[in-house]
Order: sequence, then C-alpha cells, then structure tokens
Amino acid sequence: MTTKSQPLDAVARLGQVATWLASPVLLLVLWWWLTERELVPIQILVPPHEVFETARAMLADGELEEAALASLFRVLAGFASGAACGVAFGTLVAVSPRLDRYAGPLFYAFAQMPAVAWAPIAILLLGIGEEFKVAVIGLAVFVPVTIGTQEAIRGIPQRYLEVAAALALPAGLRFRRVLLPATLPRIVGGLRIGLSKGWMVLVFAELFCANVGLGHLMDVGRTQFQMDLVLTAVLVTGGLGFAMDRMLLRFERFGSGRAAA
Amino acid sequence: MSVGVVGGPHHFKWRSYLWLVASTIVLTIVIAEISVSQVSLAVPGRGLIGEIAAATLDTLRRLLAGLFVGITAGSLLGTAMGAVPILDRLLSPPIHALRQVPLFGWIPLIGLWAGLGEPSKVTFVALAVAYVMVLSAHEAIRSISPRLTEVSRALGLDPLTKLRVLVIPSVTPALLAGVRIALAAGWSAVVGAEILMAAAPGLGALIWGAREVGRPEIVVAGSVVVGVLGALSNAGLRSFEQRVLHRYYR
Amino acid sequence: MIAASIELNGVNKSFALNGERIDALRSIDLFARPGEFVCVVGASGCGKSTLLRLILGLDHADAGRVSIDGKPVTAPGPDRGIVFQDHRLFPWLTVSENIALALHASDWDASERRRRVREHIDLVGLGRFGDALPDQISGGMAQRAAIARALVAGPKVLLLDEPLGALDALTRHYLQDELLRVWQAERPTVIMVTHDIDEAVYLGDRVIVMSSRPGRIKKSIDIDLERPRRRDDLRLAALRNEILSLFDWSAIAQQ
Ligand SMILES: Nc1ncnc2c1ncn2[C@@H]1O[C@H](COP(=O)(O)OP(=O)(O)OP(=O)(O)O)[C@@H](O)[C@H]1O
Ligand SMILES: [Mg+2]
Repeated sequence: MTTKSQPLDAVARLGQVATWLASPVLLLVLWWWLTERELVPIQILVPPHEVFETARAMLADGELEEAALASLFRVLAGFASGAACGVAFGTLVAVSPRLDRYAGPLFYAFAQMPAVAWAPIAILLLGIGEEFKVAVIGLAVFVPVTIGTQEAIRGIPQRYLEVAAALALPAGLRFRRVLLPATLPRIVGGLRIGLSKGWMVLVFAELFCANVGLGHLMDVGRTQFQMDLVLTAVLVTGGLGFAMDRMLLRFERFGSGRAAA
Repeated sequence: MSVGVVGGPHHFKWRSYLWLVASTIVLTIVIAEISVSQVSLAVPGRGLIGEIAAATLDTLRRLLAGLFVGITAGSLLGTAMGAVPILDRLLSPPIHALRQVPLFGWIPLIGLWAGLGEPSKVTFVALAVAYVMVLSAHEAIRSISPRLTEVSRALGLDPLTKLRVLVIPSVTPALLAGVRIALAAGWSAVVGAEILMAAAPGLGALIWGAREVGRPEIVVAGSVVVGVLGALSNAGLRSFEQRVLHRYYR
Repeated sequence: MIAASIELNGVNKSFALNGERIDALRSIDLFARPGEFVCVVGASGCGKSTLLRLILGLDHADAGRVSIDGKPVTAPGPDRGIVFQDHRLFPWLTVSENIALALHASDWDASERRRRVREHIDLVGLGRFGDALPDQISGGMAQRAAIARALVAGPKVLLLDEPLGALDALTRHYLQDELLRVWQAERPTVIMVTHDIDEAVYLGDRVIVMSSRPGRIKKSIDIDLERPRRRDDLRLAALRNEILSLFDWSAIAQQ
C-alpha cells in the first residue's frame, strides 16, 4: 500500500536545489553589490565583471592557457611518479610486516615533514628548475598514497577473503571481484588527498620560483596589485583541481565494477 | 582503536626508535654531504644553534596562535553546521567551493588585503587549520549515533548526563583526529608562510635565507628541526589521543 | 508499583520513503489493562516496532490518540522502560554503567542503586560480566544487559521488542520464566513483540496478531489459562495452531 506523491517530491527537490544555490548566489550578489557601491576599496576587492574580463582577455591571447598547461604538466608529472611509488611502497609495507617494522618509523618521520619544507633541500639538490618542482609535488603525493594503500590492503575484511577461498575463485576473478573493489575506495581516498596536496605544493613552488604557471600569475598579480589577475588564477586552479578530483572519483566507480556490472 | 598509519607510534618499540634515530642521522649526513659538495660554500656556522633556537621559538609562537584561532573558529562553525541542518545546507556549498582553492593560493590574496606582516601570517595558519577543523567537527557531530540518541531520549537523560555519556564520547575520536590533521596543516602553513611572506624571523625564513646566501648546512639543519618537531608534536598528540580514547574505548 | 493502562485509539502512522508513502500502522485500537501482559506477533515489517515507539513517545502518531493512564503520551518518561530490537548499549560504558544509566533520575541513594544494578545483572545471568564492555560480550549477552537496563528502574510500563530473539533455546526459556517472575512481583503492564508464537502463548494474557501493508490489528486472542503454565500444555499447542492459521502466507511470500 504505497502512494506516489510526485508533485510534493519535485517541490522538495526544487527546495533543495534552491538552498544549495542560495549561498553562492548570495555571495556573488554581495560581491557585486559591495564593489558596485564602492563600499570596499578596489584594491581590496575588484568587481566580478572585471575578473571575468581579465579572464577573457587572457584566454584570448593564450596567456592563461600557457600558464594552466605548465602547471598541469607539473602536477601530472609529480602526481604520476608520487602515486606510482606510493602504491608500490604501500603494497610492500602492507604485505610484509618485516619491512613495515624497519621502514615504518623512517617513513613516519618522513611523513611528518611538511611537504613544503622539502623545497629548500630539493632546490639544493636539484636546482631551481622543473625537476625540483616535480620532485616536491611527487613527495607530497607519495605520503598519503602510501598510507591509503597500506590501510586499504590491511583493511580487506577477512570474511571476504574467506568467501573468496570458499568459492575457490581463480586469481583473476579474485582480484577483479574481491581485492580491487575492497581496496579501491581507500586507495582512491589516498590519491585524492595526494592530488590536493600536490596542487597545494605546486602553487607554493610556483609562487616563489617560476616564469610561467598559475602560481606565477598569482604572484605577478600580487606584486602589481592586480587582484583580478590573482582571482583569475585562483579560480582556474580551483577548477582544474576540482575536475581532476572528479575524474578520480569516476575512476573509483569504474574500477569497483559498479559502472561495469 | 589503532588508526594504522604506516609505522605510526602505535607499534614503536625501542628498536624502532633506535632505527628512527639512526636513519635520521644517516639521512641528514648524506643530504648535507651532497648539498655541501654541490654548493661547496660551507662556512662553519657561528652561533648556528642559537640562531635555530630563536627561529624555532618564533615559528612555534606563530603556529600556536594560528592553531588556537583556527581550531576555535573551525570547531564552532563545524559544530553549528553539524547540529543545525539549515546552516549545513547553506554553508556547505561555499565551504566546499573554497576548499578547491589550494591553500597557498590564499597567500597572494591575503597579501593584497592585509600585507605580509605578522597578522597575515597568523591568519593564514589559522585559515589552514580552520579548513580542517570545520570538516572534522561536522563529521564528529554527525557521528553521534541516532540509535543511541534515541536511547538517551528513552531514558530521559538530562542534558548534562547526555553530554557526558553520549555526546562527548561520540565526538571525541573524530575531533582529536581532526586536531592531529590540523596540526600537520598548521606546520605546512607556518613554514610555507615564512618562506613566501617576506623576511620575518622563523624557521622557514631562516632556511630560505640560508639557501639564498649559500649556507646549505643551515638549510639541512633547519629542515631537520622542522621534521623532528613535526614528528614530535604529532606523536605527542597521538599518545594523548590514545590515552583519552582509552578512557572511552578500553 | 501501581501499573498503568495503555490505550491507543484510531492511531495512524505512515513514513515517507524515497518519495513513497508507507502506511506502517492504520486504525490501531488497543487497550491494555493495568498489569496485563500483551504479546504482539506479525510478519516482519508490519509495524510492531513502530507501535512500541509510539507508546514510548519517540515517534508521534499522524492521527489518533496514544495515552497512558488516560494521559496523552508526548515524550518518553521514566515510567516506561524499553528493550530495543537491537541492544543499543553505549559502547564506551561497561555493562553495569549502562544499566545504572537508567537509574539517573530515580529517588534511590547511591548504595541502593548499586544494589539494584547488581541484582539485575545477576537476574539476567551476567554476574561475572558487569565490568565488561558491550564489544567484549556476545550478542545474546548484550541483549540480556539491555533487558536488565529496562527492568532496573522498575517501570510501570515495559515495552519489549523481540528481547529474546538472539538467545539460544535454553537461555530463552530461563529468561521467559525470569520475566514472568519479575512481572508477577512488580506487575508492570507489558507489551512484548515477539516472532516466537510459542513464547507469545506461553507468556501472554493476550496475543495480538497483526497484518501488514498497512499494519493493522487482525485479531486479539485471549489466553485464558491459569498460571503457572506448563510448556507442554496441549491447550497452548491448540492456541498456537489457531494463531498460525491467521497468518496470510501469500502476503509474506510476496515481499
Ligand atoms: N524511520 C522510518 N522511515 C521510513 N520507513 C520506516 C521507518 N520506520 C519504519 N518504517 C517502515 O514502517 C514499516 C514498519 O516498520 P517496523 O519497524 O515497525 O516493522 P516491524 O514489524 O518491527 O518489523 P520487524 O519484525 O522486521 O522488526 C516498515 O515497512 C518500514 O519500512
Ligand atoms: Mg521491529
């Protein structure tokens, strides 16, 4: 005995969307209003349309694209190397308690060092070029990915393994249907933390030493008191980070077989 | 109740400590050797220890101020969002949007707004800490089991008893874990801010300045101090956490 | 202890689930005399737990009246004790701390409280486990601790949601008899949900059979047998068969 009540449902959904949009829209209106009435000085907050104009101009002359591509390349290179090492090392310490006992404390001390604090040492060792940026991003990604992978593998519920054994699943099926779905969420969790750390370190490195890149744009904007430039770079950075994070989520859903099955 | 961080102190034995110390020393020497041979400008540091100690105090003071402000503000906001659904729905979208901005993206903005002085640095650290605490406090409030909430209603517990037997034990694990993550974020922020926001006393500035004038031994020594202090503060907080949690989850 | 009467008049209760309305209870009329032992049986999902939650005051009826001793129920109170279907012990409190929690508003002094907690731990056979945490004892033991928590304050109304479901047959028989002993000594009004029809006819003054979708009271059957009853009484078997014949098997299979 159930009755569908669709109109009510639609209203509720609309209300939800409205509350979701309410505060961003309010913020935007507030931003616009504050700058339009010149309630805050223009050096403190530029009007939204000016940011939009700047972004369009920079997009037109290719400046924004160049900066974004340079940053994206650094993040991807650092992320790929850091994630690969992290998954490998995390797997090793998960399956070998002995390695964990010996390498664990060292890794732990290593993980406590804020990624940005590696920058000066990395510059000493690698110079101030691309290598050092990729290396520091890689280090920042490595730590959470290692932790996520180790926890994922250690955390596979014993009862799933027992079921797999009871069903005598062949290795391939066991990996695809049991191990991968059981570990992927946490590994991807580590990858996502790593990615956001990677972006953080990228901006940090570009802020003080780069001739090109989104962080460099922010720094130029700051020294030349061009807030529109800073905000454009910040927005693009946030957008790219968000998009990559979504892709990781997609990957998780795909890999767990939820999309496929 | 162990949150298995690789090699976390939960399985530290004296042998592990020995290993940790030995490998840190070896690593330090190796890095220092390489960097010294690369720059080959090493002048024996005069008063190095004193310089590093003074810088450390400055950094710690800044870190503590930022932690205090950030933890207070973040926990209050997160608690309010966890407890009042309408606040949650109103504030979640902008907070999640702001979280997409990489932490150091705030430095040029804060720089434009308030310059690069001491208040800006503390604000930045507080911001980094609050980022973490809002989410943790929110999570903590939502981890109160609705089933147990019903039990305390069924038993007609008064607010104080409810706080004691339901709320505090439920939120403590998530809050403490949040504080620990916030501490790590605070360390990143304070060192990064000292490097990026002009000359000021502090470990980050010391390291950065030493790199520029070609004093690699100070760079390495300063970085080791940052790492060791980070590890110590984390381990301290963790053992405190375990002692507290032990009370609730014997 | 003066027992209380429980009265439900024309009670409706529905839930919204993913935009659909589920009628959990429809036109429920029920009167339990002070000190009566009422058992409720019915298929899974027919609204038995919902019924108890309404009497306890955790949920509120969409229509109709729920009252105790003629006074409408608005919120839970110390006059009512409940054993939830899942044990719901606080995981960070020991068994005895969990039980003592139900005494927080009582007039007894500390030593009397301790004595009562001790007595009820013994009653449910957990004598050695007072200092154990819920995670350290078995599911059935946790369920028994929850029973002790419901009994310890000596409530006028005792609401039991399948309290003996997780127990082995021997412990169940033992606790059934203990429950009867407590009931006869303190005379609370008991509403006990159970899926064990033998248990219902052995314990109850009356057995209420519910039907599902929507949840209604299908029939109320008086168990007019003198106490103490014998489990091998043939009249109990006859009553059990009568109740079984009331179940709509096709509806259960459809779910
Ligand atoms: N909070 C809720 N939200 C939505 N639906 C609910 C809620 N609580 C109960 N229901 C629905 O009400 C109906 C009755 O639930 P109830 O828990 O009372 O059943 P029950 O008779 O106790 O079943 P069981 O014997 O399995 O415990 C079910 O169909 C259930 O789906
Ligand atoms: Mg139920």
